[in-house]
Amino acid sequence: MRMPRIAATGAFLCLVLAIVALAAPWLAPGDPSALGPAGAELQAPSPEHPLGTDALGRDVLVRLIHGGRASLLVGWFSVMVAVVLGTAVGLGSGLGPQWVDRLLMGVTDAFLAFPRVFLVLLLISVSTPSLGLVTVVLGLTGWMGVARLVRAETLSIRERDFVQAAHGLGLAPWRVAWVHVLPQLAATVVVAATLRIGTTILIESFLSFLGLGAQEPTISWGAMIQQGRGVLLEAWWLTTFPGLALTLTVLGYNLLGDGLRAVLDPRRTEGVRRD
Amino acid sequence: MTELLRVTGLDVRLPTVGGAEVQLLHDVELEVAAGEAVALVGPSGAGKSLLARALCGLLPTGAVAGTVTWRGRSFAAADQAAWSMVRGAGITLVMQDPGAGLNPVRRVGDQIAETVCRHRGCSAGEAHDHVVALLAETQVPDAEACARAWPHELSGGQQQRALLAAALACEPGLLIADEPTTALDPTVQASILYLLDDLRARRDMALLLISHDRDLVSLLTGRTINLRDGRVVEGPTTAAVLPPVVGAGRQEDDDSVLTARDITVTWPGASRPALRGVDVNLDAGLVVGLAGESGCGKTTLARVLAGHMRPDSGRVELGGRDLHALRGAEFRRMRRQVQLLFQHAGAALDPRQRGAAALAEAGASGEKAAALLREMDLDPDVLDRLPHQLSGGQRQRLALARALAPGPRVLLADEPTNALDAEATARVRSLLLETVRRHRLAMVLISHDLPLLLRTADRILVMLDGVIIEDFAVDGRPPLHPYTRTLVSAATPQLVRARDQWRAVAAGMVPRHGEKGNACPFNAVCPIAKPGCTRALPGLESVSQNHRIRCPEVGRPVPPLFIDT
Repeated sequence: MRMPRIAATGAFLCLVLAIVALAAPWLAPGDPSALGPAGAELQAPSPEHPLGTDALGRDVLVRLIHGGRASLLVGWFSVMVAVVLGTAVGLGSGLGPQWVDRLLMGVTDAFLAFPRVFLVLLLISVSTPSLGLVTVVLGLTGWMGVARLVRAETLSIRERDFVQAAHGLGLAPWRVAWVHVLPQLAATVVVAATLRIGTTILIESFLSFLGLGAQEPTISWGAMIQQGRGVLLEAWWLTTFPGLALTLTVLGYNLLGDGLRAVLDPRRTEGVRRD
Repeated sequence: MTELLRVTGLDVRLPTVGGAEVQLLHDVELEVAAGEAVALVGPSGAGKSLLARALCGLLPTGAVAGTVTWRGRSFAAADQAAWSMVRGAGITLVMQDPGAGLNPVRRVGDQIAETVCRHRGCSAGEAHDHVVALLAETQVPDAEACARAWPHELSGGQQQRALLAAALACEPGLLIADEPTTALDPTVQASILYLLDDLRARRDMALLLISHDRDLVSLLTGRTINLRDGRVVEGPTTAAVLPPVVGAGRQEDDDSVLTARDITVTWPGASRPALRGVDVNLDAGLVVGLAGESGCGKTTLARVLAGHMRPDSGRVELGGRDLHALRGAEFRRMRRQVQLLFQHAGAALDPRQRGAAALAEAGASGEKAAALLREMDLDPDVLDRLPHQLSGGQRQRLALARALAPGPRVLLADEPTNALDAEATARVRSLLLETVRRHRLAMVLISHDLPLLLRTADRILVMLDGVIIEDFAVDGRPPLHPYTRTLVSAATPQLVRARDQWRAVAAGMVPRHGEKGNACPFNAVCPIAKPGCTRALPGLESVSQNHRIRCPEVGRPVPPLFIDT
């Protein structure tokens, strides 16, 4: 089946961003946090510094390339935490006895009822801010949507004939869940995860903007925007380029997620064929 | 007779997903005279529905080639402008699934009125009387109420009648009915076919009836066109394949394998129980046929017997132990002895599991799996295939192999051949009966096709609305309950000696207003119903050896509505 154009665009964007982030030490060697030479502060974009320099004379492009590492790292790993947790809860809720379902969904609803940002701020303020903490906290506060999605999907899968047939063969419940139910969920979970990466990266930059995420010398796009905030009108390049990088990243993952949904979701096959 | 429609050299090519084109109809010639009834028959995949769409100009312009002559006027089959003149005013199409043909969020009458307005150029208010008249013409019990109803409030048969009314609103010269009764129960099927034929005669409208069921259409129509692989061919398209007439292994020393007592089930949220005090006894080596129309509780009963769902009350005894009282590993070990063969083998096999994995999971690998495949007449390469790479028949045989792998003592087959074409049906059916004999299984064969069960089963249970209304050994004596006899007549119109007699049967099946609750479930339709039938459910009483029946009126003279089987 041909991949729809929208998914291809998203995949391309995500791939480029991932390669740039992975290859940062080679693309922009040296310490991106080292102070620039005297007189290099707040220079506008020029052939020497394509995206200009910041208040400490550091090249914005180099910092942007390194900053992407933090954003993607947090995005990927926290979503992974959320997906593993959400899938486990959703699967347990969908397949388990009714009291397990009630308990797990009750917990899920309780988590959902808290505003996520408030929860994140609370968890981070009681500890020392760091990238690892942000990753874990975003993962721990982002699993509820996945859990509900997986539960709904599981409830329909478990009534399908082949699952019933597997039970009829006397297989242990965990085996039925692992062999017959989980693989059917793959498409749903992959799409949900991809769509969540963009959002998570946004929240990470927001936390870094508030100074609760990555701490110096770790570079983050959110922190870069924060540093440029004071000189927004004099040095527009300090805020514009990290902002643009964020926009492209979120756009890339959302397009990829939408495209994957079109490709992977059997109910949407018709639409793909007509594309 | 004057010629109405003539099609010459009709080719249809459609693009496939990969981008290549495939030719699906080859040089089809077709002629229909005014007021004539023509049957178009052929196996599934022959291109019947495609031809129906082509005859309404519903295919993409680039896909069709050929010439169409309609009432003496010729035009190219690809000419959309010419088609839009003919369509509606001349040719209308009634499709297979009545539920899909109605918009669920609009009242039935409004949908028919829409067509009426377009064709008569009148307002919706003016159309109302006409709509009710049309519904009455299609023999809907209460036309006024039906016009006000939402589609989901109608039964399948009523929905099909409503669609027919909408089609008649165009006053067509030719009505194309594409498997109009396939989605319906046999008793309803008969009355819809009767209605179609009746309308044809009264309105002097030509009818092109598309069906895979040669017997059914032969009763209604004069001429038959055979379609096979997209070509019009001479003579029958498939040799009549009849299943073996003998039961699997009747009259051996009866040893009971499974006994179900007083099974009652109410689905959550349902107003009526799906099963009301059902008793079943299964003996090794014998086939018990479970007959009844959709929704009567056949499948629910099978699910209870196989341990897929717990009954609200009642016991399922297997080897002296109550299956549903067991828990955990013990329950899982016990339920392996009762295997269920599903209606759609495609859905019953994990789409991501190859044949070898499916069999291994069921307890057959290596030589044992190979032996099972040989027994099922399957090639060893099925082991490496995914379900979607197999044909429907192969899938069902693989599912049967998997069901046999745990070494069950009971096999429940839920309409196992319903989704298959004639050839695969015959093969699966004979394999099933061979299997029962070889492994001395106790088998339940669930089917809505009572005549088929009369040929294959040793004993038959007839269910209606969650109760068993007749339980009889197949020994040549006819079934007695009026409902059972209705089922037989409805499903085998070709057995009816006189056409008028069949018409009477079909006409007699238009339901009256009946009682629900604790009444005889057949009271609304029953030709011999007495006032007492609406007050209490009769008990299942023995009328002779091996024959129990839930009807106190049997034995009284019956109007000559039924055929003798």
